[in-house]
Order: sequence, then C-alpha cells, then structure tokens
Amino acid sequence: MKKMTTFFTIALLVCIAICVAFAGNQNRDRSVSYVYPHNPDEDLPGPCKSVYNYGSDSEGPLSSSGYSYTGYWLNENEENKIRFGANASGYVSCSTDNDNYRTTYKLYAKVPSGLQFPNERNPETLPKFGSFSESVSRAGEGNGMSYAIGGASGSASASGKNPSNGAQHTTSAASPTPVTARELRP
Amino acid sequence: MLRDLLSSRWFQGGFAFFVLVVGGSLLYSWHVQRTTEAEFARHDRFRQGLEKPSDARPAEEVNVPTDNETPGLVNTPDETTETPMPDATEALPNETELLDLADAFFPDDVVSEDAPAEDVQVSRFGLGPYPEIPKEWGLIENFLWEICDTIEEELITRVHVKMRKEGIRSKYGSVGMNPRTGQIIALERGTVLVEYEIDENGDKRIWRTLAHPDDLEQGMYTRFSDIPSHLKIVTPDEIGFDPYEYLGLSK
Repeated sequence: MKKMTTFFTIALLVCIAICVAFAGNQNRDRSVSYVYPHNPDEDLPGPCKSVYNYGSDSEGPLSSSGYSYTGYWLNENEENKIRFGANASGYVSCSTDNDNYRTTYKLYAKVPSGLQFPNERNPETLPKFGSFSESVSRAGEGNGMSYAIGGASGSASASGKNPSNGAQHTTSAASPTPVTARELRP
Repeated sequence: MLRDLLSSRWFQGGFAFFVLVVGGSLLYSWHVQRTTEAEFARHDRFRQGLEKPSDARPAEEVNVPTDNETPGLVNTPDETTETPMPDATEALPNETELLDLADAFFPDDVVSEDAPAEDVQVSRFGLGPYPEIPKEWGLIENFLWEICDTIEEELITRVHVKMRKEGIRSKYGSVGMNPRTGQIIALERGTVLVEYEIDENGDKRIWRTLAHPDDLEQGMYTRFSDIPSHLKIVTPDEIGFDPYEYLGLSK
C-alpha cells in the first residue's frame, strides 16, 4: 500500500511537471540571446572591448529583436586617439498572408547620452493590420575616454491577434547584458 | 490470464499513470478553454453594455435582419451579466440553456442556423454603427471591434475593412496610423517609409523605418544611401490621409 501511494505521488508530480513545462514553452518557437565581446585592435588598452548584444524572439508571424553595439577604436587622424561608438535598434516584424492579422507593438533604442540627441527613441505606436517590418535606431560616437561600455540598448515587443480563429501570439526581445544573455560567445 | 493481468500491481499502476496523464492534459485543456471563454465573455459584456435600450426589439422580430446587421449568429447570454432579457426570452429558459450547451460543443455555423440575430452594434467611441463584415472573410463575429481599446484603433479597423470591401486593401502591405497626426498610413509594397533627423554634419539620418518585411530584409536603414534604388522612399506626411474623410465620418 505504501509503495502504491509513493508510486501515485511520483506519477502525479510527473504529470504536473509535464503540464507546467508544456504551458511554459508553448509560446516560444525560437528565442535567441547572445553577447559577443571582442577586441578589434590589439593596440587598444585591455578594457576597451567591443561588444555585440543581440536578442531575438519569434512566434507565429511575429518576430522581435533588440540589438546594440558599443566599441572603441584608435583614430589615426587624431594621433591614435581612442574613440567610442555605439548604436542600438529595436525591430519588429509581422510576416503574414492574412491582411486581417492585427499587431500591436513597441520599439525602443538608446545610446549613451551625449552621443546623439535625443539619445533614445521610444515612439508611440498604434496597431497595424497585415505585414510590416518596423525599426528604430540610435547611433553616435564620441571621445572614447568619456564613455563606458554597455550604455546602449535596443528592445522590441509585439502582440498579434488573428481574427479568423482568435489565435494570439506574443514576442519580446532586448539586447542582453553579459548577465542576462543566454549565450556568451568567445 | 486476464485476471492475473488486471490484478497485477504494475498494470494497475501503469493504468493509473495513464489516467493521470490524460487527466492532466484534459485539465490543462480545460484551463485554456476557460481562459479563452473568460476573455470572450469580457468582450460580450462590453458589447452588451453598448446596446441602447431603444435598440432592443421584441422577440418576434429578432429573426428579421436589418440592412446593417449580420444575421445568423447567436451570442449566448453571459451568466454573470445582469442585463435584463426581453420577457419572451425569459419565458423560454430551457431553449436558452440548450443554446448555451450547443454553443459550447458545436461550431457557430451549426448552432446558429435558426438562432435569433444580433442587434446592430454601435461604436462606443461615437463613430456610429459598425460596418458589416462579410461572412466570407471568415472572421469571428465582432472580434475586430471588440479588440479596439481606443478610437484610433477603431478608425484603423474601419479603414482596413472599407479598403477590403473596396478591393484596394491588397495593394498595401500594412494599414496603421501615425499617432502624432492621426493620419492613416497604408504602405504599398516596394515602398519604404522613413522618419529622419538632421545630424551635426547636416546630413539626414534615418531613425525609424517601416516597410513590408520583404523590403526590409536587413532590418533597418540608417542612411538614405543604404536604401536600394528600386524601393520608393516616402515620409508619413506624404502618404498619410485623414480617416474621417475617407470613412465619411464627422469628427
């Protein structure tokens, strides 16, 4: 009797785990997030690395991605003065043959203040019907000694509804940090 | 032999496990269904709140569709709604219950053959009756209107519907609205919409790009020189148009 009770308890836990796992993953077809730090110039001081940060998510016809890049380089025209550059973007896409598909979305891009004015874009958006791709971006460069890496970010999110069958899709992505990235590329 | 099998603890355990797996799946399915129904119920309550008392018609007239309404579909009353029903409906509680039951198990087109038609729905933003959406489009009844949370969203939807009815919607990849100006942005294929700023060197720098996915394969364009020559470049002010004027509505 005791064995049966144990067996049923374990079976119940397994079932609950299966249901939870199913519920948690059903809305994610693909999700990517990586940080790629590298040093493009051996003459640069050690801390002056360049970093790509990329995150992407998609479900159904929707895709969202956030991207940012920060990097240093030596400007030969300025006696090898260290320069700093950053860019960031948020990108949303809906690819569908269904003209009635409706998407609401948000986009965001930011670089460190002083590199570009305004240094961030967070435009108001309204729903769209049909297929579209939209992006916002920020970019700029300045004195390398004035900026630290990691001040740029981009993000996007989207939510779509299919009026033909009530299906809903959501995506959300942001340029990751080394802490939040799923993958740290060498 | 069969008795041995049935009395086997392993068989019993396995059978119990199978029942648990199936039960768990059904439980989850039931949960999803309930969540979806709750969402639709919310929209139903919202829609019923829109109905004016003067719009209510006697039960015997319910089957007579007007020019603007979509006949044939039935929306079962929500249990939690306190909206009073016409006397004739109250007198037939069993029919309502049966419709509820049937609506839960059969597709709409099966249930609604003989069901009473819905009254004409009116915009909650003062834009008048909703335009009829042809059944051939295969959309969930009133879904497009129920998901409109603002007047801007309803205007976009009305423009989209009118464009489809006029047969010009397919020219455009997407239909939306410029929140800044309230103008409709319908973007044709092969066109890139840009918003730009002038940088410190006096150059135009694009900060926002909108296009059909096939026309924006690289994700974005930050310089005009990046945009392929076969694509037409437009700005929101160049292609935007007034939704009220297009729809024949007064502001």
